[in-house]
Amino acid sequence: MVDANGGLVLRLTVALTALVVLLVCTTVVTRGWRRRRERARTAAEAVARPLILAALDAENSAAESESASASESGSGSGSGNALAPNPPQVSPRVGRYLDSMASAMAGKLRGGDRAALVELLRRRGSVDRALRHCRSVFTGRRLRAVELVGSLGLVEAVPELAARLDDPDDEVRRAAVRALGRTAAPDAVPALLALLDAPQRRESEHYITLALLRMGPPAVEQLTAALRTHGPNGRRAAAKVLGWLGEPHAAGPLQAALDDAEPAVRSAVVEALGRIGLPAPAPAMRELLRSDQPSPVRVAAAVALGRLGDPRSAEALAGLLTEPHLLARSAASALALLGPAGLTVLRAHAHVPEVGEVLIGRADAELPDLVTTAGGRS
Amino acid sequence: MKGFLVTSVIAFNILVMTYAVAVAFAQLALVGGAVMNLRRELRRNLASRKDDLFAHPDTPGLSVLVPAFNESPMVAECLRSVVDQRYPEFEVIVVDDGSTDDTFDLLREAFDLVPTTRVIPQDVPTIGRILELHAPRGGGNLLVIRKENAGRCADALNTALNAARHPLVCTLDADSVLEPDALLHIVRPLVEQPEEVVAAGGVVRPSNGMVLRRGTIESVTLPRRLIVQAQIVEYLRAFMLGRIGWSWLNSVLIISGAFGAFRREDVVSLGGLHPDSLGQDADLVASLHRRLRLERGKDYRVVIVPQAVCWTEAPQHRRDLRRQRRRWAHGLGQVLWRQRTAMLRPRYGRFGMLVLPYHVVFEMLGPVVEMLGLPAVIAAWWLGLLNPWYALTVFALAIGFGMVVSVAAVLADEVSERHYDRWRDLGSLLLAALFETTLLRVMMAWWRVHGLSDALRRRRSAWASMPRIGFSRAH
Repeated sequence: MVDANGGLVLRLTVALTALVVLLVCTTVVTRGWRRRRERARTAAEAVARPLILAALDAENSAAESESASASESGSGSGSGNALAPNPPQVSPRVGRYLDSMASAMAGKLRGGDRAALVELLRRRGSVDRALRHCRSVFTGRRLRAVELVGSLGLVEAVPELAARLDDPDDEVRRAAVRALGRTAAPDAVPALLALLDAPQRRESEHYITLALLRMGPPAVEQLTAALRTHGPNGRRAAAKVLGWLGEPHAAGPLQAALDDAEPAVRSAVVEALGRIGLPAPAPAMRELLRSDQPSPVRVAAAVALGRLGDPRSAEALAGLLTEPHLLARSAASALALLGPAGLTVLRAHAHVPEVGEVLIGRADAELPDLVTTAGGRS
Repeated sequence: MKGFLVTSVIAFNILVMTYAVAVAFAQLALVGGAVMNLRRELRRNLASRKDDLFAHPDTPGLSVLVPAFNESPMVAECLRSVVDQRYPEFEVIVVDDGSTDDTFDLLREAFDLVPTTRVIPQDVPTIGRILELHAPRGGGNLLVIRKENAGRCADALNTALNAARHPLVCTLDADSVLEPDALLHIVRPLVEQPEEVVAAGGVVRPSNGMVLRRGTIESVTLPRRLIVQAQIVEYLRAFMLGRIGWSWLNSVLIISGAFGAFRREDVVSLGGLHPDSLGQDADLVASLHRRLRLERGKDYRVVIVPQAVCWTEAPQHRRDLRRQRRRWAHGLGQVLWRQRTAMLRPRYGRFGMLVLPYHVVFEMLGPVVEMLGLPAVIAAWWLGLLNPWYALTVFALAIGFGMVVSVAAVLADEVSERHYDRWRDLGSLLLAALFETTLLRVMMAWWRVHGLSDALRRRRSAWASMPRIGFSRAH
């Protein structure tokens, strides 16, 4: 029995020793391979970078000459395709790095420079290839393709990208959301907002709202419509994005949404109106300070009224100074933004710790003895 | 009598062998989980995620809570590494818990602090009274609270929690340094999945051998002391690979207080950190598990973020290491005792049926079994039951298995992050794995038995700072 066990243990020991040696060798080989890959990447980038810069130079030259001819003929715009050089002949490895560098750079550029890089990749066939690969069965290939067309902001890729919102891989879905934001195609707005109220919600609201924000003014119409048509998460996201965009035309529909049944939507709507800054909705916003509203809505309303700076809000905000800490602090900070009317109210409530903090914070350079305040209401 | 002894020794040895096999399988499962998790993380486009988080106007604000007690060698560099982090909106709240050294003077000089005021609500109870508040003269996102010493790190953290004004809070040890973008990394899962993820932990690595320039990591080399090198391997194995494996199983119990992020409202709703706990970090996570299991069932996650790296000084000397490990074991014992009513209760799900039993059987009792193994071998030899060849082979098997896990951890680090860039460092790390698997593990088992004994005797232990050497600074 002992011999049989001993033999088994010995065999296991030998196997484990071999495994340790194998892991050590793998570690060493991995390090060597990574170093080699880094050297290869440095070399490839050294070849690719001048080619990309040459493409940008050609675009600038074309823009200058077009500008000169436009000043003569009174028209003209474009990306200088006529003067773009033939696609550079490079090895497949350098080509991969060139595509990757050019698309990464294009994501940070606008206008003619971006168009020049798009053209460079088109001539290399990389754009068509990426559009094909958006439907590849290989996840990694799909992901790279979506990221490439996304960084180029290709409107023609919108149907492919919208299809990828249902991709089984979460990284591909996120890349598709990001890419749709870069295309600035308003048609994609409903599809993105619908993700937020899908029964099996899988996508992060954070990235969807950022994608909508990146679309900019072209998305406003669809976002405004979404305030009526989408589910609560979609409505909330639409309101937030409209506020960040600061679009005055959205103020009317947003004001109409102030009585939304969902408190989270009301908070987002009132916050958006505060960011847009038009005075008309102020009376309706003051209604949200009422005690029958949930606390987050009241806090959002106080902050938004502070942003509007309407002195007529002072009295309504004063009513919050006796409320719990967060409400009182929000109201005190908002009152400080209302000018003389707000300051009068604050001085009248100087005994409230949150008010004291705001008053001292406004004048701390002038006060010889600063008061240390600790302890407050929860 | 001898027959009874023989039977007992054989039975015990069978028990130990069974236990060792169970440990091996559990560790293999964790390594497998960690590999899966790392593989998924490596595929993510983290650069774009970080940029999006930073650019987003709705990324929630973050309060970094830094409790400090006699941390003068490190605290200024620690804070420089934090205040210079890239994050849309954050504040740093340092609580000087009645330091008797020049911790506060150093902070005042480094950040030009002046007295300030702030209303601090009593959302969670605290013990030590607040004495003063300070902030940089030119404004900024730093607040330093001086308070009476309460002898407990948890009390300093609770004070900072009360002062925190952002919806997310992140705990950070005052002897730690954050890697660039560490805050963006650790917050990422809390922002991406706000309804699921309730807490996120970073990966803690020993900072010994690091060179800093104004709070920024200039270089990292492997320190020369073997005991520190072995701890680095241990951190890779247990704190990186192990916890990432637990994260894959959605069963993380310990998020190191050195670097962990939570939602403020969750921590406040628990009444803050337990003031008497030595393992307040594990205690907080355990309490979160316990409450959320009942409230939400499976619908929440506690995760470890491999890219959120925090560097902290590991003990240089055996004496300090012993004290640290004894305190950790004591803290773990306290936490498990406080959670005993959830043990093996199906309504607590994985927390009650997997996490707690695992930590009791393998983490808490493991050192006891290891330590009892030695007298068992002596008894077997005395009774003539010991086959030396067989015993040696079993010993080699145990070391071999430990080496497999440790080298796998070094390999995982090589594939994912790779901080020690020199070939010589890699060789030293692999050799240190052998020391860590053999001698250091035995020593640690002994210290942990002492810690467990402290916990069983309900011995009271105060918050004490470890002797520090500080960081090397680049000139």
